[in-house]
Amino acid sequence: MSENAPNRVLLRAQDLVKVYPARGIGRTRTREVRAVDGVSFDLKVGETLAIVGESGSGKSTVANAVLRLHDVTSGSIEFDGKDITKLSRGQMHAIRRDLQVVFQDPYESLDPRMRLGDIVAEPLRIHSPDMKRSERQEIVREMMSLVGLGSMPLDRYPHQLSGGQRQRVGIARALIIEPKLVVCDEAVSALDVSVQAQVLDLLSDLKERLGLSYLFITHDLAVVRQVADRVLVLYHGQVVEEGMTDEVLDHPREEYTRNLIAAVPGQRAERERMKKETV
Amino acid sequence: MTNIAADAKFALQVRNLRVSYRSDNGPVEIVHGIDLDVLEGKTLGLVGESGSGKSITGKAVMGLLGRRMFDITADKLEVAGTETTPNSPKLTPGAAMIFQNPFTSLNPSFTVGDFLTDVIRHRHGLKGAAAKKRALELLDAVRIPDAARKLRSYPHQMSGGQQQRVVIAVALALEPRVLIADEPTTALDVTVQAKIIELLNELQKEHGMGMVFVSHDLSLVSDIADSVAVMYRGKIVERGDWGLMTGAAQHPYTKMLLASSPSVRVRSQRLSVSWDFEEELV
Repeated sequence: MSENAPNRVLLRAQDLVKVYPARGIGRTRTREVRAVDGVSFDLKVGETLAIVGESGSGKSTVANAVLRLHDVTSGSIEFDGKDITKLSRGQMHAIRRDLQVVFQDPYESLDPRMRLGDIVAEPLRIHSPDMKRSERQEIVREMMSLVGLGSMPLDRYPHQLSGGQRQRVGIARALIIEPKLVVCDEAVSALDVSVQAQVLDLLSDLKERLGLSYLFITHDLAVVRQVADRVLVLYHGQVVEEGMTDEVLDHPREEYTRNLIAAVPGQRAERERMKKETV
Repeated sequence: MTNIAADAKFALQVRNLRVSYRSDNGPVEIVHGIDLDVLEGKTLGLVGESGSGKSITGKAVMGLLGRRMFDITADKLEVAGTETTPNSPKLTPGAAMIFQNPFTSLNPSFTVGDFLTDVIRHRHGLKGAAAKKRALELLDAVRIPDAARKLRSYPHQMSGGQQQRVVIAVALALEPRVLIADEPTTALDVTVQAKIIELLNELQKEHGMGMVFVSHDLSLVSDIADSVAVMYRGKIVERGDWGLMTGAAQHPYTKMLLASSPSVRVRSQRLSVSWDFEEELV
């Protein structure tokens, strides 16, 4: 099968379990926490899969496991056909080229002492160390205009940028080595609504142009509706419901999903209309 | 506003509120003369993006801005019929305020009971058992179960939703006629947010207080507010009833905000809108 055949599974998580052990002694002893408790999913090439849940649902733990920022207690994560839970540091290094991340907080995820040009070029320096400086500069320029920062001087520091501009820099850094999968961990949650709109549109444009797949971690069901092809609803570390986004949001099967959707603000007009219709 | 009942009373009236920041290079005006009207028992939603001046406006009304750094003027600042001078060293009487992060609003080294009885003693001169009794009533009022035990709890032992309920209880201890709620649910999960909003609505009905609900979330404001004022660059650019947030908006900035907000019900082709109206506003 060819590299980019649709329906090819890019990421397969099977029975992921992450247990944080008990800590402390006596009165301060905490019980062990099963943050992720048997989560399985497939993500196909070119697809956006959203993992949605409230705080403590385990959604970020899943993201961190996929990125191998921490190890899982049990279960397997197959990325591009390889089980990455067993790879050594060196082997993982090669995988990271295809597996990048955009974090929530554009203020904390950029090194305040690095200039923009260096921040965006860093993945290239790491993964293509032999590349000529001039060539690297050119790719950085290209990438910056792709994320709509074409006229931004590269010698700026992060603190000179707005939140939306910083998030664009974070996206440029993630995409510069042309990854296959981008994990977006609450990537638009900290942004103003108009900026969030721009970043969401940018992410979907780039997906088309570069053939990306996204694992989108979010608490916001409106964002899920906007970006995701499929959605996984997590609660207490377990998958409550899974399916095509429109199907799950329009016809939720589970009580928990229904309550979650009902709690999303901005449905007063619909509620009042329904009230009128039933009277 | 046209259809105000003749006997309706204003919980808050503000005319021509201006806030200047005293910078090293002279004063910089950041709120440019805004008017607010909040009826008793009603909610005004004050919406805008970061930097629009919505939080500064809330703090200026509450009297929280330091006079060393800010200069506040208003032709009128009236809470429940009582005129207040802006820029006074005291907090505005009759007003109370709650904030986004309940944990930073509470003192981590005091129990909930200490904190509440402190406010009650200062405000009402109650001590000992009488203060404790009032504190229990307040925790009951904000629907905290097992209130007697919760009085001995520290903030970190409670969930975010419970902490925000405690903060609301402290605000209620002041018996406010107007409550200024500055993004009170932004740090909370949606299901918890829905419950806090429900609580605020119920308390408003019980106590008849007015509320200024400051938020960046247009959907949330459309749920809770009776009337809405949209702020941009220190000015109110549009106002109307809550229907403004569901499509009746006229002003290009409000329209842009609405178009940018993703909806849980329908997917938009594109969310972002170009900002070509920016010049006409300056």
